[in-house]
Amino acid sequence: MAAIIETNDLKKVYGSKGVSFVALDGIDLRVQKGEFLGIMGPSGAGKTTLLNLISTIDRPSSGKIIFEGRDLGEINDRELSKLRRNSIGFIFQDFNLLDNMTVEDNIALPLALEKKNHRDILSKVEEISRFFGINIHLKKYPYQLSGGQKQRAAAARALITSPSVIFADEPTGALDSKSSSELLQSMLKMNEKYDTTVMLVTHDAFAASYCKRILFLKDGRIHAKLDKNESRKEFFHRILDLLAAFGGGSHEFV
Amino acid sequence: MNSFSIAYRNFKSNLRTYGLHLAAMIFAVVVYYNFMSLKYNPEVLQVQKASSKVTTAANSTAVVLLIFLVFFIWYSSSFFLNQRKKEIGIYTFMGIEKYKIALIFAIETLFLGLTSIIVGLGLGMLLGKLFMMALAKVALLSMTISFFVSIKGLAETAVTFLILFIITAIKGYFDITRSNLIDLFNALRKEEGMPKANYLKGILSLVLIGVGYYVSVISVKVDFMLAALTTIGLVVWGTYWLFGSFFTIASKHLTERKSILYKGINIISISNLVFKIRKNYRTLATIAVLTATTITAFGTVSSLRYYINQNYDIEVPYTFSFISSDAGLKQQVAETINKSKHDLLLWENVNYLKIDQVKTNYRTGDTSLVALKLSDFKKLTKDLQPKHYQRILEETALNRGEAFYVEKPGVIMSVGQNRGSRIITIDKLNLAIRNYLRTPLFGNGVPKAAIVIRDKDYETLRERFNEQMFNGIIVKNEEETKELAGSLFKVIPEEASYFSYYQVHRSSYDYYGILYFLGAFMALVFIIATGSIIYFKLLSDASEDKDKYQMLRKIGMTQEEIVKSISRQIGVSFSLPLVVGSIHSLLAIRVLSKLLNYNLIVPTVISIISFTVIYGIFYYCTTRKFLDIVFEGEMSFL
Repeated sequence: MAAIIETNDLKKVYGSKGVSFVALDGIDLRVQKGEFLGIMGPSGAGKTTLLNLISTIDRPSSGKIIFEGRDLGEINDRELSKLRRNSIGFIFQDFNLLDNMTVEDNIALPLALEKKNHRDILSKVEEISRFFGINIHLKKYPYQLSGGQKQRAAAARALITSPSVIFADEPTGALDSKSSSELLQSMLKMNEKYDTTVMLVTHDAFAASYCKRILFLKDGRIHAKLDKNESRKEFFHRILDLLAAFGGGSHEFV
Repeated sequence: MNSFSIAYRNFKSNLRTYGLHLAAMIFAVVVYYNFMSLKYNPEVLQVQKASSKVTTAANSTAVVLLIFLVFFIWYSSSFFLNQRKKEIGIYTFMGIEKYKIALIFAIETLFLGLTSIIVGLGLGMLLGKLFMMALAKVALLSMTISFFVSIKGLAETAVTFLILFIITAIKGYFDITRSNLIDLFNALRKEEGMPKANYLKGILSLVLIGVGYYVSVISVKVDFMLAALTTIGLVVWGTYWLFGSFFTIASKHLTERKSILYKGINIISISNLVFKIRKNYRTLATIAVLTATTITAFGTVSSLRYYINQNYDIEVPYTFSFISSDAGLKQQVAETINKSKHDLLLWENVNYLKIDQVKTNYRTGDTSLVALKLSDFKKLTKDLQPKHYQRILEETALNRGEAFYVEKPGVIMSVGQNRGSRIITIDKLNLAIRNYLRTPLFGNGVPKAAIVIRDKDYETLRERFNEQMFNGIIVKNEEETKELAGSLFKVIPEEASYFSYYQVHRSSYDYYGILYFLGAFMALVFIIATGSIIYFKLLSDASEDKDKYQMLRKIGMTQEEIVKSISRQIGVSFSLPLVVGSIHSLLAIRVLSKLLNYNLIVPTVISIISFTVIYGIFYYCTTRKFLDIVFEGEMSFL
């Protein structure tokens, strides 16, 4: 299987010389096409930083990121925006739907920016909202939806451009457990049906148990990896065990 | 550390963020001081014989200005306080008592006020001379301007604004002590619901404006004052509904036209505009009305100035005039002029009838007037050669039973009259007024309205009424005829209604020039102030919109697209009230032009262009600042 994302000794240092903080300290990563990858770790471990770098929102201090065979370091801002628009989908913790647009327009947004034909956009919106089970809410405004519906609308927006990768940063953070599992179910379905690569950053072991592979970050380094080769329930327990080990603060873990 | 020093430190460190707020207040002080100093400027008072008139004009302008400036300062400071609510919320959260925070902010407001008074007065004194020079230039005054500082003006301005700022500070104090913590935190974050559009109001707004326009068009034919008030009422009302409902409905419809909406950044621009227009509709409508008022007012004062110049020619067409057919007296007058150093340029002799039994079919009809022959009128007009005299001469054909009506000298404009079909009855002769003219005739020497009738009719009337002979004399260098005017005064007896150029010094007309200047300056103040109100309104949205645009960047909107979209939204916010206001004012000016029989297109175009240029500058600044807030200064290409 081909790697869709590859990083090479990725480093990110915040601040200037005097007071610098190393957020990422040499990450080597290979993400395969169609993977459902989870990234876990305590606060400040560098999860979001890693996501931001790979998703082109931020630039690394050193190291390389190869995205679909292109070195991100050699692409200018304009091209990066294009890349984000066409190849990347985002799901945020606080939904980030635009309040003053209908759900329909929110989902259509990325394609509208691409100036696609409006009829094609509408049929695509219809298809994708049906997939996420929110097609009856299309004419509503975000404030009329529940948290779970909002997040599924956001997921629909992320998927509408048929991106090769979807980045989800704590997507279940603001949801109750029922909405969480509904969302994760549909993300899993999306991963399987459209062969979309998913990178999920989360604190939540339950959310993480939907992943096929999990990386544990600590202090800017990859401290552990878990591969799912059993049922989700067993995988969930293995994650919990690992987290407990982290929580104990045992540095000799690796 | 006490509240005072905290406030001082806050003030100092925030000085840069105050930026436009401070500039706005300084501007207000500068403008107000200059008006005050105009009132006390000795040179103006000296030149002005009618000084009381100027003082009245300056005073009433100052009142209007003050009301406007109060509104303006109120607006900018509540915007400013709103911007800092979160900061206040954090203080409260840390457990500082509310009254103490309120005190700090009140003192800070006072610091701000004092700074603007001091800087404003300083700038005002510096710009004072410039202001007076502009006055002299625009008002065509003949006076020398020296640097002048009015202590009284300084004191009045300082006290007025001090009171104003103290009130603002007190208001801010109570605003804070009465606020809830939750509101303070949520001040910058409010969930927007979709505005409901009222279709009835939206349609009615167009109807109201349409009817208002229609009434204004027919106003020339009906009772003018009533029509004008009706028009103003309807149009203002309609404008509020236009912005409140119609534009919301229109933009909402655009969001439903997906073929338009789903075209690049339209989706962002249009969706945002629906909310922005609805949210700010009161401000936008008010500014549209103010724009219309300003442009119209400027047109009016401009026309006034034109009329004054024209009026002077009508009131004083001759250097001297008297009424007599006595050949001996004429001889004496001619000799007196010959003896002086002035050459005789024109001696106009015209007979006219003094008619004092006049019946009219209209209200406020003249009871007495003078009548002259059409042939004499033509000759006189040819001799005096007023503006457009050729046109006047071309149109001087009279049918049987018709007459021309020449307005009494000194009438600036006649409004409130139905000019439909007027008939003047003299003796048994019915005369229909064929046309109304404003053209020089006898000047103030014969201060009556005149009718021009056919020579035949004149002969008929001559048997019934008293005929008199008018003598109008023009000499060279009429500005220096003071001496000659005096010697003629001795020669010409009182009953001959002697009238001289020197009696009406041109300077009494300066009053209108000053009025014109005040009007023009007020217009400028209004333009700048309304522009900055839109600026404040839009920028208070900027911090709310920040997260939105950050997110849009993450999902792949390029910086250029965001800049384009924001520019468009701001552009619409500035141009909507400008366009609506301009259309209103064009209509008002059209009516005014008809009424005055004078084309006002030039002053109107001038004021619309000034509005557009100044709004353009505001548009640029607003966009820059907005982008600065949204991108937190990390714009890569600006």
